[in-house]
Amino acid sequence: MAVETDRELVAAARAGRPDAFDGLVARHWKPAWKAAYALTASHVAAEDAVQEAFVKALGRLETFDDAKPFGPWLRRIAVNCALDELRSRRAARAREQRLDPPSAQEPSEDGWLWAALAELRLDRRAPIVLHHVLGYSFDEVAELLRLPRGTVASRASRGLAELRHSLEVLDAR
Amino acid sequence: MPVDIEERLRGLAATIPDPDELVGRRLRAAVARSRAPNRRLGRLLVIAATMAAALTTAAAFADSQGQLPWKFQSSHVVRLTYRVGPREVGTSRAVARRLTCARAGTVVTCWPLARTARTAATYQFVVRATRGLGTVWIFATGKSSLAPIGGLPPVIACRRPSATGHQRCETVRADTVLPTGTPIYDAVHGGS
Repeated sequence: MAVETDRELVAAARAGRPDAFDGLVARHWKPAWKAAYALTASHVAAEDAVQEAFVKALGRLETFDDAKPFGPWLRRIAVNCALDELRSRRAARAREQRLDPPSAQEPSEDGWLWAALAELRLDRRAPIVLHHVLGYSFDEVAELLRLPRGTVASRASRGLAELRHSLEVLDAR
Repeated sequence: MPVDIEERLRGLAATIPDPDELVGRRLRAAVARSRAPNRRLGRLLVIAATMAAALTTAAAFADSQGQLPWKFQSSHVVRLTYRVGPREVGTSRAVARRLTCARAGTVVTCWPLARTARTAATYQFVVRATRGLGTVWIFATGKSSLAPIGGLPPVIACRRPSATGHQRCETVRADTVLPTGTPIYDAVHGGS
């Protein structure tokens, strides 16, 4: 049987076919989770964010422009949900309970970098993670964060400087 | 030597863990813990047995008032009713965290799997639990509807307690997909 495209699954989900949205969840859960994890550094918060994202996506399926790809649309919702998670008290609790990033359990360059990122203020961490780690353009980040592009770029730049300083201090030890 | 921070950040994407692998790691950790006496794990297993028992009788609860918001009466114990399977043992913390109740913007955590609601209020909770090879999802909103994502193994949904204080729980079949906004009672029973 041919694998259905996202567009076909979306159309089927809109038509009420039982397994269609399940197919979209199965296909897009992992990339959305990874994006959320990159922002939250918490598997628990990432799961919450992605779960919320799928609930929202389900609710907005009728308004989804199916001329566009489903994955990036869903990931944007997930990123926004992850940012909401980070801003909320709920996220504060999740941070307390978070698992350390995997590499932080065995100290390595990546582990230190994750830790340094987690120490950044959210307004600096978000543009860095979105642009430098997840590969969104500054224009896309600006849209996601609802900020002017220049603000995003300057916050990312300040965050980078802070990170660079942290890691240079570390390397000098 | 100056740190090429941008290059290192780009490489960071490859170190994001695989969520499936994380579950595996937690499971292995739980198995390791289970080899030694562990009160928390023992408690979880007791809860598992209790929940499984509750599951068999849950559908018997009746609610004559239909489509009201999820509402837990004063001093009513909010229970998560679902079957806890072997894979969940390793994800106990995550599962428990999902029992989150929101009231008027204030979030409290239901721990461990039960908590007394001190005031009459509309609560919201979202649960994701793994069971066997599948995934059980329970999506609930604080509104008068429930929007589960179907096509997955049985979803157990509980609504507000009835006048007798029983919380009503129902099994939504895996092949049931409810449009957003569909009151679950209607969806399951074809109208009330």
